[in-house]
Amino acid sequence: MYHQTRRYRNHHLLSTSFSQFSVKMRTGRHKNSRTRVMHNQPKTKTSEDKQREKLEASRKRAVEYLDIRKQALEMRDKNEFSEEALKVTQRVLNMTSECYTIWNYRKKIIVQLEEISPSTRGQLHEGELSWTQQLLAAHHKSYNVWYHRQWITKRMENMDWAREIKLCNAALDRDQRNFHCWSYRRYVANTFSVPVEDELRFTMSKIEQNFSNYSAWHQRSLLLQKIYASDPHSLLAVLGEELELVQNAFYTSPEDQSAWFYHRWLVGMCKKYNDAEKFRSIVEEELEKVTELAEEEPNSKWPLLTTVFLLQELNTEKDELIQKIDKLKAIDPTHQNYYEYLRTKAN
Amino acid sequence: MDAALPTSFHTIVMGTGLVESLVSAALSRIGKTVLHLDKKNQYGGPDGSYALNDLVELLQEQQSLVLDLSVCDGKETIPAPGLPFLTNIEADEIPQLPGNVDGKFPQSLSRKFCIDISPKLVWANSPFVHTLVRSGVSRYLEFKCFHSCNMYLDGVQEVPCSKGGVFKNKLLGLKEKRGLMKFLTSIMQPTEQDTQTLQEFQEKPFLEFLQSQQLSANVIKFILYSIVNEENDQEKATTVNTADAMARLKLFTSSIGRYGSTPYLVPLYGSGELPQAYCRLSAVYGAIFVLARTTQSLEILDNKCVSIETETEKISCEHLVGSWEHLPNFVKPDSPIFKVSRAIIVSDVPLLPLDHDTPNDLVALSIPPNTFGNTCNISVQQLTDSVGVAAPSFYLIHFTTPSTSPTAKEDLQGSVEGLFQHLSSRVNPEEGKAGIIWRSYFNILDPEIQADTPTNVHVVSRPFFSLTYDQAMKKAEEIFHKLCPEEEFIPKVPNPEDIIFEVGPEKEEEKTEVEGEVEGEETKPQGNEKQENEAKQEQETETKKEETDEKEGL
Repeated sequence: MYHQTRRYRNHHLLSTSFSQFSVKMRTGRHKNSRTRVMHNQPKTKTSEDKQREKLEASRKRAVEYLDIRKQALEMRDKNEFSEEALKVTQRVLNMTSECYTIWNYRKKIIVQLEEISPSTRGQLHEGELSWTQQLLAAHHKSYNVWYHRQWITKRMENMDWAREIKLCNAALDRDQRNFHCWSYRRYVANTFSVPVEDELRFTMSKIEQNFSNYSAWHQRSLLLQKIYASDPHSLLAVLGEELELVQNAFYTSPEDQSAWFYHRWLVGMCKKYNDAEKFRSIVEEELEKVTELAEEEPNSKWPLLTTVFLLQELNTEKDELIQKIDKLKAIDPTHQNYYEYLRTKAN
Repeated sequence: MDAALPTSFHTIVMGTGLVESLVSAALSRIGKTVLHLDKKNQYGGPDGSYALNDLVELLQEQQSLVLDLSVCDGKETIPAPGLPFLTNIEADEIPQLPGNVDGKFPQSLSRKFCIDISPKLVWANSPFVHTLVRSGVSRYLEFKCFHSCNMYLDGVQEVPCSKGGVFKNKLLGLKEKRGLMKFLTSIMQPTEQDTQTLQEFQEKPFLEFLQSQQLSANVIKFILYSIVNEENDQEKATTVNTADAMARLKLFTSSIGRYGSTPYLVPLYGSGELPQAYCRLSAVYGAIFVLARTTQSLEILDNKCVSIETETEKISCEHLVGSWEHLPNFVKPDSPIFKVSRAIIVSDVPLLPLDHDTPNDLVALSIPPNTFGNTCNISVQQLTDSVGVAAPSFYLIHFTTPSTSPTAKEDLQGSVEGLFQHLSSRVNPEEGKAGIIWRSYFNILDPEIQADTPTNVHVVSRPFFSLTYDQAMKKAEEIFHKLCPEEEFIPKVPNPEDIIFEVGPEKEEEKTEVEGEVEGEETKPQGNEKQENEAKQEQETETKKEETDEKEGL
């Protein structure tokens, strides 16, 4: 009978200005208060009011923080390694995740607590994991938090690496080039033998999402090396596919340096695993494609620079190289010195 | 609970469709007294969203009404039961499912669906969205972004609309990709040369312009039918002029990346939430809402409507705004009636195979003219439980196109079957994947309105095909400015944290807070005659709150 209602649940929300979608409860709204109204517009605070409020709030926080930190340091000086100490360090670290002295103290407490009651080790570690997860939601680029998590996972007995990967996925959705997260992901993959193919597929999905993702390309290069370390022959076919993929990337967006760097690495790999003749023919093919692009985009530095690298591999005439390098200097004056260096090398 | 209503209002609004709700919110916001009625007990009307069984009931009810235009006599009595707004309805029998009761869908399944009658596309950078955000109404709503935009070209192809899309596309060659990217960049960041070229082509057909940009045939098809989203037939598509098409194209490219990688948003729980959200804004500022109230007649004096008479009371007003479904007596009987063809499919097989790494269930698709014998471009949307409009593992697929054949089925059957033929490989009855579970075809009507309606009566009809909400908003703004020429249409809402509160002695009537649901836009209207309204308002807002409380067990 009644119309469909909205459900006030916290669905996956989009970022930026729509993120205040979920209906908020009115806090501090006294039932008997009312707004002052003029011309149907409620009276709002001025910017001085707001600044004053902000200053007050931050002063209060500073006082609170110094107090709690003093408390923690006093406990440390007394060598206290109790649950209470753990709680106090948590309060400090919730206010700022970057006080590494307190992080160290916390690690010492955890080591002690593990020894004192080994039966609750698992619980303790779980607690740490869930708390660091909360911290990461707020400070997703904190060295200390990521490292603490890593330290905990090393000490755990039944490590669920799938959960860690899921956490990395979430963090990378938020910032695709978060190197802390990529490093952590590599740590997890290496330590707990995550299937490499899954990881490769993940990099592909990240590249498809946004091929400007240098970190994803980089990860891909590391993984390919890992997969084919023992089987360089199969690598050759894969390199061909990768070259096609990266061509799509730089044809779509020639100014995007990530694809060009990956391309350079691929050419290097081709050189390493191919005989000289096969390599030469690969370079010539690539040169054709890149030159075509350079012609279409005469003011783009990357096609031209890559042409220079490829020509160097082919041991071309010095004059042709110099001509191109000079052109680079003209279109990209910021990197003049580098091109000068290339020029002298060519001579 | 039938409290007595106040006997006079500045405006009475009849119908809770989107245009009417926008007008109601705009008037209420600037302090005018508004009485907002609807003869049904649901919000939205043709702009609403319905549960499965409710939709089936609606279709049956509409089928029982007669499109008899002789009732459009411009007189004071409002004909009842009125005219249908849906015709040529053809719906499947309810399939045999476990839990069917009385030949209806099982209630637990039915209520998980929120099926739109007129779904459209919410463009992220459109004026409609800007108004949502500016007015604060966006805070009553939740949206998601479509996961992909596609076009049917020998199979479902993803439209290369963003950098990532161009990169992933397997159909276009390297040079085609470069050409498309250059074209898109010249739209977003035109150089002097670009602006000059564009000037030359302003009045010329868009197709000529595209061809001059050295784009391949496939790319041109993508642009015409998915990006610019030309609903028209192929002939019209080639003659649309560059200026109009470019405006669309700019909207498309500037909408990408605002909230996600596609330019379209989809409201959670159906597009019926949009008029409801504006009704909420209206109520917060003091409008009174009464559902399931039929108006029987108007009182017209000196070519002005001075009051209306419902079953229970007589209420006077200075202005009257109503949808044509509520005021069928003012419909123009001898004019052609505009029609939109629709198909609604409930399927258990998705249009695109599901990807477990990245969600891809919210799909927008266009079927260009002459793909399955269709005259016009068809806009298709696949919606799922991720936006709360379908049961899990079911897919709600909407087809919309301007009518060119006498019935919707003739317009759309070929495409529906063609599309599902294409995914027949995934249909497997043994695994319980039947493909189409239930389908219905219908036409949505929108007639023209008589020219000589009373001067203070504004009848809303939408005789235009539009896949966006901007036209509707423009119409609402037009009506609002006829009523209040000097006022701002839905002004910006102040940040609630900035509002200064004074604690002081209160009169009971001044509280109009809808607790816990809405943030402080409660500006108190000035003037004494409002005091009596406040108490009634609180009652009405309580009713509204009851109606919007969560259903148990969901």
